Amino acid sequence: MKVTVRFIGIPGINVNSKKIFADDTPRVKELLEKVCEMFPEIFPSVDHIVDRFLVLIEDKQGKTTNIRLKDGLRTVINKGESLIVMPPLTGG
Amino acid sequence: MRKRIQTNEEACSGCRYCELVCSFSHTREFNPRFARIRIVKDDVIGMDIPVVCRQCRRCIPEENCPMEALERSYLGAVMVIEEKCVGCGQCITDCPFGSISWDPIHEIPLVCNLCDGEPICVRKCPTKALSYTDLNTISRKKGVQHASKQYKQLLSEWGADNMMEGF
Amino acid sequence: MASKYFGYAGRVLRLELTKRKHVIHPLEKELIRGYLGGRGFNSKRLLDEIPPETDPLGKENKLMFATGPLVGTGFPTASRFNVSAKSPLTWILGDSNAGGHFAPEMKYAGYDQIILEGSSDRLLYIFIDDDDVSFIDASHLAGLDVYETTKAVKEEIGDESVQVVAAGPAAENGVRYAGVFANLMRAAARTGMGTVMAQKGVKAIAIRGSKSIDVAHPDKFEKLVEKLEEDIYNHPQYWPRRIMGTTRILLPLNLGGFLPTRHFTTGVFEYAEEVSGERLAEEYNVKTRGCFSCILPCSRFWVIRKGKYKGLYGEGPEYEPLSAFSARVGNPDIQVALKANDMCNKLGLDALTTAECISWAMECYERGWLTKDMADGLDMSWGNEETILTLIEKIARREGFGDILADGVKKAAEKLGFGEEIALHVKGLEIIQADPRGLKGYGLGYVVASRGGDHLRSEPFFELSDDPERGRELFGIPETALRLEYKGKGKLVSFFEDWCAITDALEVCKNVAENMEVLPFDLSGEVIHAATGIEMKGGEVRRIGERIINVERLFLVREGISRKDDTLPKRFLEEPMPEEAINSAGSIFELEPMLNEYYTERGWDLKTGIPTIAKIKELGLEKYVDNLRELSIPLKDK
Repeated sequence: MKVTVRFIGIPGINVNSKKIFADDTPRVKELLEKVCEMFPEIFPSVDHIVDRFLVLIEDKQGKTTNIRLKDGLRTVINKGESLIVMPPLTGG
Repeated sequence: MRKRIQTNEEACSGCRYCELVCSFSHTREFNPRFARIRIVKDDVIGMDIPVVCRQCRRCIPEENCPMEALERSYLGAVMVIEEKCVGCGQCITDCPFGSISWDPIHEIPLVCNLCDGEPICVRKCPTKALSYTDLNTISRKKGVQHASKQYKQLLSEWGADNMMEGF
Repeated sequence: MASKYFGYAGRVLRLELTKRKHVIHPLEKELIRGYLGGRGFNSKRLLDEIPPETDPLGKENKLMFATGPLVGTGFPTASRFNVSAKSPLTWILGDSNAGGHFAPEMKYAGYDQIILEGSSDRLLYIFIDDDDVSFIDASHLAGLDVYETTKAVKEEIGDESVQVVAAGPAAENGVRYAGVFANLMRAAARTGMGTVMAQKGVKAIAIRGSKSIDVAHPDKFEKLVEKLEEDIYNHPQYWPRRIMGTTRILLPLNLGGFLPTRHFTTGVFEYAEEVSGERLAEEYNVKTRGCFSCILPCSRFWVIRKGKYKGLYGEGPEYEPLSAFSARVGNPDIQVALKANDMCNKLGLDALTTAECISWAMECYERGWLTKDMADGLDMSWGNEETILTLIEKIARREGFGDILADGVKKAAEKLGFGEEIALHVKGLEIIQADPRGLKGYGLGYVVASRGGDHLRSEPFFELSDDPERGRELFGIPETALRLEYKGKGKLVSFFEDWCAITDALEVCKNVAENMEVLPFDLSGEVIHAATGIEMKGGEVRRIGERIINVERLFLVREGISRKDDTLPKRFLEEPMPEEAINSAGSIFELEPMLNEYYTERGWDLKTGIPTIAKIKELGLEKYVDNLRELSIPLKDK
């Protein structure tokens, strides 16, 4: 299936979303591995992403949940859900 | 090959970190007046331009420093021989780039001495607006840039744009 | 000559404007031990020198600029100053903070604090050249904008490197929320400090110094700076901040459903991408600019290359004004937001308060309370470009409808007799650009902030971390890490308030020191020791932060503030976030339990919100007890 990944506020990547091809109901880890392949300079490894960025799952209605509050990297992505990667959100 | 401090005006953010590390490394005090590098700014137009000695030939000869207080170091930097300098300020008024500073406390001119070949301002510049390179390297780099641009134009005229991937 | 103080310049300059005289006195050692610097110095001195019921625009008010012990050294981001007085907008503590290059120049000229007293009968600018102080006639600068003033002063002095703070025409015209501007657009904008300056007859202050700042332990200091450099350069937020500055948070706030849109009637803006930091970076930014000694320069110089505003250029804006002049007023055009922010900078207005006044009027119009006639014939529909820009100008000139808005949203509602329930302020200071229903800790921060509805007193960003395990670890309460939960937020906010007080006392950048967590209390203690020679453990440092908060609270209490004033506008307490703000939908602000928890954490009386005598004594502030009793302020023992 095709999963949409959106990158917000990451220098070097346009705000536009990217489509990633994956097996049906993939786990977050699998998708992030593909993200690393797409942008190796920005994301050298999955651990790097998890350490330094927020990873959210967005459902069909637009409700987002941090993967940390689910099963982390093992969280399964269902049809219609998409992924968001962004830097941690602190003050302005 | 003699290296110089090169500046990139587009990259400079005007934070003056270079002035601070320069002053601190030479005097162990923080005072931009003691810095041998200076950022010239204009907030209205967003200008931040680093000014530092380019090691040209202007100030060293006798006709420019009557006291012969300026000499060239092994690195090519302009050295102020403090015992000879009388603080007349002629080198400052003569420098076309304004890159000799005046130390108001000790009343001597201050010129970049290249920190024994490892300029601290270059190492500490947050935006890499300063680099330490020799003119030959810069000249070659610039030459390649310009030549490629010209050749690309020619390729385009030939309708051979696909060859551009080689660049 | 190096002074006997380390880190500090060691002197205070008092400018007696009525007589055009000045006095220099040594910086009091007790002030250093108790309050550290910057905001701490100002708040303590305001409590001592400004009695209750002082008229903010009268001669008796004092305007204080103070900076901190690290400023002027090569400590990363130490570049800031606080400017404080009793506020003409809120009639409580007025205080604002800005970066740029003014504060270090104060130190090089030999001053940690500059105090303006009395008032001049004609317009002046002041030139402080090391120990020489000149009061110079500025009648020819009357009415000039911030840019023109700064430029004229530099030209007259004949040195582009002098540092200037200036007030704009809005301040001269008595708009109650005019700011003090350093380096043109480094705005100490909040609470009307520019208004106080101009009403004292001072248009600008120029300063130039040649003295050195010595640190007590140079080797240790150098090592600590290297550690800070490493932590900052390797931080995940380094590049996002470097490219977009604070504007990077606009899209995430929209995603979270708490981006204040059309005067907080909703939390999502359909044009968010059009007005985002990303859009600004892609299409307008040309160059990075930074404050003094900053290794994470986050300001951006921009140029508009096509369209109606082609040829306009400037610096910034920060998230707050960008978001306020787009989402808050319902404007989808980023160029209009840039233009509006530029106008506020030049006219010398607080962009946030200005945007609140305009968006409040727009909501009043939508509800049918405000008519076109009352608004000088302007079309007050959401996002109307002409209306937004015309009103900014009218406010600054106090013309027509602008005159009504020039006293702030609270007074505007009083004068017009409607819209009080939707006037979004706390204690008279207009609320910033983040919806408290989607960010409970931030909301509580607005409720209790000593200068009114603003986040910069606390910035409890931890609630955005979604990391309950760490919440349990750090605060003993998992919910502290979840923005929509209210539990634990009292504890969280009091911790972050103490931290912000320290960053404001050290005058380092909150974005870096606090929001990026690179300067916690323990490390601050080490840095203070290396710079000033004063030994201080992390606990002691936090205690100073707590003392600053309490001194400010006592100032407020003396002005009649108590629990009844620690609240949010009804909208946030009673109207749930609408469904379309999906990720914050249905949320309201649970004031009472959060406030109780906060007071308990602070050691303040639950009923009144006044510090208890036990707390006052614990902080060594017992000398104020008698004074408070004389004023019949109800004090509880514990």
